[in-house]
Amino acid sequence: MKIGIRAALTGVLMLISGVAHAQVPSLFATFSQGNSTPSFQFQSAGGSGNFGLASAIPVNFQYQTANGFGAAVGQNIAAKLTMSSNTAGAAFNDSGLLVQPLQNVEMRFTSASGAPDSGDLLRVFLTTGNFIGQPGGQTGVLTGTQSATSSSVVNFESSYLDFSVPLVNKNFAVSFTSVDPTLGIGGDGNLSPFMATGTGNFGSAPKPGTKAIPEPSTLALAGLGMLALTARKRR
Amino acid sequence: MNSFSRRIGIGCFVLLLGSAGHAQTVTFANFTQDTGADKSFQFTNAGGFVTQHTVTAATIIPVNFTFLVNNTSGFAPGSVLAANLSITSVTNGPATVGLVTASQKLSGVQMSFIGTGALAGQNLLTIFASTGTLSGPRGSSTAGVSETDNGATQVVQYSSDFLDFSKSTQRNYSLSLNNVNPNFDGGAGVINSFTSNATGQFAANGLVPEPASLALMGLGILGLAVVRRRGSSLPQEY
Repeated sequence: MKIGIRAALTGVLMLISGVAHAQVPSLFATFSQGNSTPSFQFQSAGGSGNFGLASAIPVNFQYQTANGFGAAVGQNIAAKLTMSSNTAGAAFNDSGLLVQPLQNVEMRFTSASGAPDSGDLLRVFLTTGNFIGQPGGQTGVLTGTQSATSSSVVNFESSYLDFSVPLVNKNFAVSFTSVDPTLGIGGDGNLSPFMATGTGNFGSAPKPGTKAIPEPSTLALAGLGMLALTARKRR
Repeated sequence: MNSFSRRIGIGCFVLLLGSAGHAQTVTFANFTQDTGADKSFQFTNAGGFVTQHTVTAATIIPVNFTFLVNNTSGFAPGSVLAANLSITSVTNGPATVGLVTASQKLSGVQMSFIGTGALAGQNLLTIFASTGTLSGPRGSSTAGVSETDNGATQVVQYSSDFLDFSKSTQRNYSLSLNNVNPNFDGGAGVINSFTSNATGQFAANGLVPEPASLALMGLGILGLAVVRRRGSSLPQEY
């Protein structure tokens, strides 16, 4: 009985430590802008603003975990990025830092060399996030976290990573430099319009698994199997 | 020269001057962290804000480094180069814990990207920043370290074997931290200790102009010459 209790206790302890471990997020993807063009654009008029890219920009994208794309961990993939978001309320000064609340942030990475329908390297959706920078500064960070202590919702999708495992932490951060003109709050209450260059990283706990893209021949075989099954049932 | 073409000529000249004297910075390099040294950026709170805390890499971190402008490394802009990153800094005064954000001033921020592979041992980029600001949303897994040179209290300097910064008068850098663990937060003038991943960017003005902008400038000068010639050779229109 004593041994049983001890074993049960150890089991609980192991479970607890297992859960605690799984909550520590790890890096699974990174990107950096492929050129020096300040392409990230914050616009605002009459209190309604948006932050994103006018058109797709070239980026260097890396999976930092095993993936179904066929790229080694850390290997560079020439990719394209599109991005959009809207402001979610006026910017404010929080103890010396400028905070611009953003919502409906969407980022999409696709392979630059693949066919147009070759799927998404990564898609990121964020309900609410913040662009944070210093007044008069030329730098900023856009971040979002979904965890037990953060009310934001971050969603990741990918044709090559499996996010179906329940994730207890999803987060990303994009750093900006060459912010021009420098950061300030405009007449309409949002940040003043600016252009910038960006680089970022994505993490989760646990890390996503590999998603294999079924090849057409596999799909055909599966189809045949289903057909055979239906035929058999009929008989 | 008639007044119309003279006006155009002066306009062109002003435009030229404008492009030469513009202090807008260009992001000339960036890096992403390899997963090899996961969460190796660490902020250590040693007890109170009087004690020095550090944002440092526990180990040398393998990174993907990219020059975004013309340089003398022999690699085209946008090429991904293998490098090792080391970083150190100390805290400067108490942390500020706001409503939704927390921040900590840093000083002596030093980062060094040393090439591995084809550019082994070469100084791709070294950053000496007198100050930096560590800031992020409270309770999140994300934060940033950044600074803008203001020529006085905040000085950012760069050196590289492959870029000439001697004509640069304005510089800024920004690192984005993610997977911050435990969550980014603080209280009583202190940011809690954490480990994280990082990617980042570096910007400066006054770098050697790219061939494309040189060509544009050449075109501008040509245009000016044409306008002048026309103005003096053509008969007065009115």
